[in-house]
Amino acid sequence: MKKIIKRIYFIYAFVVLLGFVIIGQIIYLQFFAEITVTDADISFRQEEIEANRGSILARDSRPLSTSVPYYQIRMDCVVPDKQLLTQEIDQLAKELSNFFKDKSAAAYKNQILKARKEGKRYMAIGNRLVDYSEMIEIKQFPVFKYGSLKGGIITEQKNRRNNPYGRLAYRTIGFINSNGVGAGLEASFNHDLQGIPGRQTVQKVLGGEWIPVISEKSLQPHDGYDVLTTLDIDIQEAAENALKEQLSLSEEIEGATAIVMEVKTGAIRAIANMKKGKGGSFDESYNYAIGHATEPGSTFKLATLVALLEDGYVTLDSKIDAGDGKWRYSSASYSDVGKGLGEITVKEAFQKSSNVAFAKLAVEHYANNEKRFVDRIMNMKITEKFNLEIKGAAGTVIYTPGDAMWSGVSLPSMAIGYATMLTPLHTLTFYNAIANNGKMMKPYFVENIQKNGEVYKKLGPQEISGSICSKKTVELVKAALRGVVEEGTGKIIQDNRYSISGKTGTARIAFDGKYIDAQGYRRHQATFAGFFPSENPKYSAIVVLYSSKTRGNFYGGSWSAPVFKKIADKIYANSPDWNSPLDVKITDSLGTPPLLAGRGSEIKNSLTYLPNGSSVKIKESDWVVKDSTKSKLVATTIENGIIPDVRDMGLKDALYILENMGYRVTFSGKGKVTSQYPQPGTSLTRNQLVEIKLKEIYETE
Amino acid sequence: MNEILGGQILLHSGILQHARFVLFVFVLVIFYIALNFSVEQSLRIERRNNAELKHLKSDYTSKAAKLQYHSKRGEVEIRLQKLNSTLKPPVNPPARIIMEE
Repeated sequence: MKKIIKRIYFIYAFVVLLGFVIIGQIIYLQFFAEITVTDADISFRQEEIEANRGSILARDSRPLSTSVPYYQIRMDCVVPDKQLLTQEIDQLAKELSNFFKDKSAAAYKNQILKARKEGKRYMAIGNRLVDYSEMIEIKQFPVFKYGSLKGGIITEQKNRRNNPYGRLAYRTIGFINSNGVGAGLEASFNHDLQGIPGRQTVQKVLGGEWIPVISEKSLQPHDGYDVLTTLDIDIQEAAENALKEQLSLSEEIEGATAIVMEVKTGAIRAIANMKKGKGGSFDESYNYAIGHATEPGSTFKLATLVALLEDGYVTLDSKIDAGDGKWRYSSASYSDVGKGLGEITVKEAFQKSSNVAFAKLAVEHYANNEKRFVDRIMNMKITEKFNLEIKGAAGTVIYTPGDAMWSGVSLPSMAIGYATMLTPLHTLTFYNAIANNGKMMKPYFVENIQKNGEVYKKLGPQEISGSICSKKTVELVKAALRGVVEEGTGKIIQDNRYSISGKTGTARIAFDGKYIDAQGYRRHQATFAGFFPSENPKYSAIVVLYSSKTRGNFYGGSWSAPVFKKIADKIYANSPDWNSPLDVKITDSLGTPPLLAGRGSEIKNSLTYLPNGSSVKIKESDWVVKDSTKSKLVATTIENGIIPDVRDMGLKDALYILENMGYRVTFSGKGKVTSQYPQPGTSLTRNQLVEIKLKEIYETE
Repeated sequence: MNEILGGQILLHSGILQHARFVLFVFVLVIFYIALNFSVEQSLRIERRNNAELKHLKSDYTSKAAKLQYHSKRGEVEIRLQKLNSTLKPPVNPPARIIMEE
């Protein structure tokens, strides 16, 4: 008994001691111990839930820029076991080399084996990010097909901006890097596009997977807004292609731009910028359209003409002596192309773009009151600041009497488009205002900001000035602009199908402070600005080509106008409403429309869109075929194992029926089915061959 | 003291009378644990499905982007040329016929 009690005491003492040790350990851990925590020990962490960046959309909601996930392939070179690696590495290296095409299979093999020796667990594979389907393909490669735990493949998702249409309107769509530096819409609408990321707490559970902790509050991400632009992909593409074609014709062009604007609203439908790069190819790398202010040249004569008409100093028929094409005034000399036009009307002077005539007109009527001329120009809002959605707009320059830069020749120079600085967009906005009967609209790129098609902020059209000149003046200058294309410097783009109005412009550009250097080299700027169709303008557009130093000539009429025409032609081909409807009489004796055999319900549906359609009675059964007289459609049933009658059906229906019954089908010709073999009604087992022939036969009644 | 050490307490305290209730509590505890595990499992599945959904979405967007590029008019024209097609883009718009009802 004593022995037992002794033992109990012994156990008791042991337990008490154990208790003290435990308490001591707790105190130590709580207050004194330093614990190093490794990744494997962490079982909770905060995780960011990425917000999807919004897309930039064309006017028809097709995406111009959208976030697409890409994957970086990496390899944990330590993971695969030795046997597996020796067996399959050659095969893997070969596949990788084939896929990325950046180095040989041997190089890949060496790279992997070396990395394994060095214990690399995060080695990048390949020379680029891959997309989803490529990633799936790579996951099937030898070694990698055993997954991340045995094969060592690691895939990291990265969201990248993707422009589905490539470089289309790239300068306008823009870009942004991770530091927030960028250009175009991508940068100026970054705040709306980026969205707000969410947060959640996740917990590691058995098996090493992470799951969200329900008891902790989580913050859901807010996806970014989409930006709906005014750009029209088809017009944009037409503009870019037309520019590129023209640029390929001469080595001496260093840049070009084309802008298309909708007359009523000022919406920019296309904006193309091309700048010659180092290799001689052109790319959207500089925004000429809004960022390049130069002396506009002859396109500015429109403003001069408006001023003269508005002040009542001239009519289109007033006479002016353009003399022998040369005129000296003060320290400046003005000249026309060719031998001189002699005495001409104001309209002719405009159509032929006579510098002499316009310089003379300005001096004649405004020399005593230069300010009056400049005020007129200012009233037309030509130099208006647009506050565009895109940064990088160049400022305009216009001198006024009294400025340090104003001189005795400023007035006549300004009248023919020098001594002022405008961007192509400014010139276009002015021409657009004329097309819009004097109402000037602010050019804009963004229609609205939306999410899932629901508009959140509308930016829409905005008026700059109700009328930049009187209606009467608008009518007169419109006639003059039409005259330029009918019989003036823009004659080569005259088209009988629809009418274009516009003005050519050929300006010399000053470089190193001069217009012409000692060797006789000059730089030109060839412009065509205008609108179409003349009677009821829908679009206005401007095309500007900038030459490098050259001894040649680049006239707006011969270089820019053809580009303008190509763009206008493309728009015309898509605008059936510009032509008046065909003058045909539709009478009641139309008869019933000829019908193909096919699915009853679909035919019935199509008939509702046709005249006299409702007069045709169709059984709304599954399939209908022609009866023996070929005049009526009757219902038919399809029986398994018996060849149905597919005659008079389209190929789509015939194939659908026959292949669904298990037959193999060969066909030839196009149109509707005219004969089939074997004959309808024959019994035939599955997998047998059925031959059908089609022909284009149209029934006329 | 003897009662406790000898285990008689189990017979006399009446715990046995509550055996059913104790069993019930045990069942509850097991049920609770099982429930917890199944919730965890569904969360895991949800997360996996979300990842899958994300992948499918990326698959869709990257394919849609490629398709869009190919549907560009210029691209279609290039492809037609490769096929030696004589198809040309229209030069004139379609004519309209106005119908009076």
